[in-house]
Amino acid sequence: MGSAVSARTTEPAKRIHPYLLAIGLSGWVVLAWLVVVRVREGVGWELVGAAGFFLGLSVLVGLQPVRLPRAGGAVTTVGFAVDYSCLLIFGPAVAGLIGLLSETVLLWRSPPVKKLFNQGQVVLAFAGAGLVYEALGGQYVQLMAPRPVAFGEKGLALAASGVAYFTISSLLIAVGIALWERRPVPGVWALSFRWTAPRFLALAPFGLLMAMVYQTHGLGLVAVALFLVPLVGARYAFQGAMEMLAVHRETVWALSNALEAYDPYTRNHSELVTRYALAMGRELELPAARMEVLEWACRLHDIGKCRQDWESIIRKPGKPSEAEWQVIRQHPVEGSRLVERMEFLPHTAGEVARIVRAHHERLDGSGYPDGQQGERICLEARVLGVADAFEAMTARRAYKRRRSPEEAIGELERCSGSQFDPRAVGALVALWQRGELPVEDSLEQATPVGGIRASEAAAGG
Amino acid sequence: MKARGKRQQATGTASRLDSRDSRGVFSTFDFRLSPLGLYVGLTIAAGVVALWWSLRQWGQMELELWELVLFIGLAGILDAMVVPVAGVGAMAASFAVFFAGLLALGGGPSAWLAALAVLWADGLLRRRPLARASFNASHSVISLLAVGWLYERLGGEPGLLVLNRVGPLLAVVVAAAALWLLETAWVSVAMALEKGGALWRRLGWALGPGLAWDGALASAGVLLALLYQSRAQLVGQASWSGVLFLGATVLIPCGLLYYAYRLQSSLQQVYLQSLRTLSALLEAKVEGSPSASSGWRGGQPGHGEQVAKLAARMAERLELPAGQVEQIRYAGYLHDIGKVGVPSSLLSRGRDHYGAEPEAVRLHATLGAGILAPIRFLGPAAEIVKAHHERWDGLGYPVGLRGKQIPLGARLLSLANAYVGMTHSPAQPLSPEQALARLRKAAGARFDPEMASLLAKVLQSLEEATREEAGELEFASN
Repeated sequence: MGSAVSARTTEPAKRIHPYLLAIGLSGWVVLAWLVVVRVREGVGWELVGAAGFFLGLSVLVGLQPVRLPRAGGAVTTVGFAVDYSCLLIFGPAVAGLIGLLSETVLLWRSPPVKKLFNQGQVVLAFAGAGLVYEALGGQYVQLMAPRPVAFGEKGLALAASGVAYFTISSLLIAVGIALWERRPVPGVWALSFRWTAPRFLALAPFGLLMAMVYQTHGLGLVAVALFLVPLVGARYAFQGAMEMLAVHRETVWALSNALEAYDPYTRNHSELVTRYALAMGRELELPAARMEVLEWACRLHDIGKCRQDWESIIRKPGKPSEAEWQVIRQHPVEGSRLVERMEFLPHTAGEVARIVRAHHERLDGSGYPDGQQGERICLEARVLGVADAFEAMTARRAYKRRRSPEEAIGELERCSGSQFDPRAVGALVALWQRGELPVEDSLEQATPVGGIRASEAAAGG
Repeated sequence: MKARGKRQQATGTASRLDSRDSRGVFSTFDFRLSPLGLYVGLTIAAGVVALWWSLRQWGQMELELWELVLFIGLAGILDAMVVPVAGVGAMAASFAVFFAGLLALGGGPSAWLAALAVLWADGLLRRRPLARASFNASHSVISLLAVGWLYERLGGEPGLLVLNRVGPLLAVVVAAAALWLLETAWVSVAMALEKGGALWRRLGWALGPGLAWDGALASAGVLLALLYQSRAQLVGQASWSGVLFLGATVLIPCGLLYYAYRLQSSLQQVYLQSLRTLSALLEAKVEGSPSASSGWRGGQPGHGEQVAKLAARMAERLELPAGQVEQIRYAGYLHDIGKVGVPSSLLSRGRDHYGAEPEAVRLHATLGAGILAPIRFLGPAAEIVKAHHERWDGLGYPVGLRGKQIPLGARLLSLANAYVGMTHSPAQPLSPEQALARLRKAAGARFDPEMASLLAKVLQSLEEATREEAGELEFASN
């Protein structure tokens, strides 16, 4: 049943099969127990009809999931609204059964182990949410009940059971992904689920309303079906929004790449810096939201260099004049202003701009443009600074000698603490020692043009 | 910020006239004897008469104060939930409550509720000019009365909603469709009168996106009507929770729908904003125009932005579908993106004596298309960019297409590009008249003659608009 978030896209590795099987089987056991203990009375055509109706709704809503941008192939559906109303109406036993059947239909063509896992996961989530709900005094809408449930007095139970459902469901999946990708569970959970929690839980009132409408005398199932239209409409609009987000990312990155790609001196620079910085960010276990911000900052960090005279300034032999230095020192500021104008995502443009502005700051305060020191430079900017310097040193540039990665790392370690952040340098070194640093030539061919010195080239970018 | 201050382009709406446009009949009581003024005036007059007439039905209704507050309050809140639709205008969510009122209370009372709610929301909450708020209220009143009458003819009975029999269910569906069509048609006529162009095309634009939106809202409205019917049960125990519940049944589905639509349209705005930034960046890089970020603060829109605006204006004038207009706008912003692949020494050399560009510079059209084509979403824009230096007589580049073989968007773009280039040339800018005269001379050779005369019309109407605006400003400051 629209286990609202589940990675349905790929075949799970053999390694995690024991885990998947364990969850699946325990789900079946729990369901069997619930059915035996709970479902004794009131089983009639009425119940079967209503449950069948909700099963249909659940399958309908789960049929077309929305793919979330970069959450490890996770998808989301608006199915939680239906799930939650099932729980409130039928209780965990019948709701679990509906969920299990719905998953079976939705995952008809998936490998059996995956189907089993999702079945178990849904049942366990229902059972846990039901336990929480009952412990806090919640009641279920019973068919032909003499008195309707006063949901208005059960606020705490309702909220807690919704949270419990989401927590159990998302944790079970996060553990699976973590085992699969050999990453820590909290990190996986934060990356894939934490940010969807508010959107997911916002569907709970929707489910509650469906249950309330269902129990209102004389309305029944037709009225419940009416909820489906806005729900499905919202789903399509939401999908449009997610597509727009992906298209936006693609467009900005492709165009900013194009802006530097034809300049033989910076071709692929941002691409490589992004690769290094993201690897370092993972090494430092930055949370998903900050990784996202870091990636935008890396891709756009040199956008302030978009001016016609940049090449001539940076390639001019000898020391740059005072006016030219002014231009060089100004590029992070220009870049941050441009980024601010892009406001790609609500709330993040400001952060990205801050990182871009600070990516040439140094720990000891000798950097530019603001001469900030130590911890006042944000961590992402320090990571970006190290990645930028590493790329600048190892890239084959026409006007300077290319250094080997070993040399570059030696140089970074020498300046670690004064110019570069020791943690960021440490992350890069660790990656290099494990052979996980994706080093690549940023320039295939180079023609020697006369010589600005290496230190200045690195300082200028 | 400039993006925010930019005047809303589309004026009309599927169910609401919602322009923030400061000119035109809707801004003041100044009803000139234009067809639009006449139309709006007649609508408002008819609305007032209809309201007065429907008072007769009002006497039979027993509506408690809380019910009145509930309906008007909900309608007002939902009326402020407005989603912009590209090329058409905006759609409000109040349709749900209007329809619920129609089903639960009947045409007359729901017309009164709608009038009060729209005047409250449009006039007070959103501070729209009174004439527009009155027009919106009036067309809702008339539509609700007409559909209320129809609903009863079809066997529907206000306050006794039955959904499990075919006849009454059909009456509900027909009523929803009729209300939706009437409201949309009413506003589309105003749009067609104001902006010109065929009514049926305006209607077609408005109906498409409106179908999903209003369909979802109508079902939320049916829900509210259903629950309102069983209010005795709900409100009997504890009245406040019953009212809250009734409110929530319509606010939660509508709110979710609104949130999702709004997210989508705001992301479209963000997208456009990023393209503007990138196009300014491109100019800073290849043309050496003053550094990108400081150029904006001067308030002078860049070349790409002006070309994009003008070309999109022409496309709108041609009444192309909204999606196509957007692609032409994108192509306008990015038409010179291929110049990043041309060495800057060649670019700065400019044209030779005969106005021909060096061969390397000519490559930029193909290069630009190559950059844009792989980007999802910008495929059509890439084709326009590729052909924006083709000539009507077939002597252009890169392919040498001629006449109507050249995509329409590219024909528009090449005109806009030439016009903006001439009037903003750093060396010797031409006056608009001179530039237009030159373009006219080149029509048939370089440019599509029909589109050249379209450009003249668009420029004229733009000029009138600015003149009017200036006049109004003067008036306001006095």
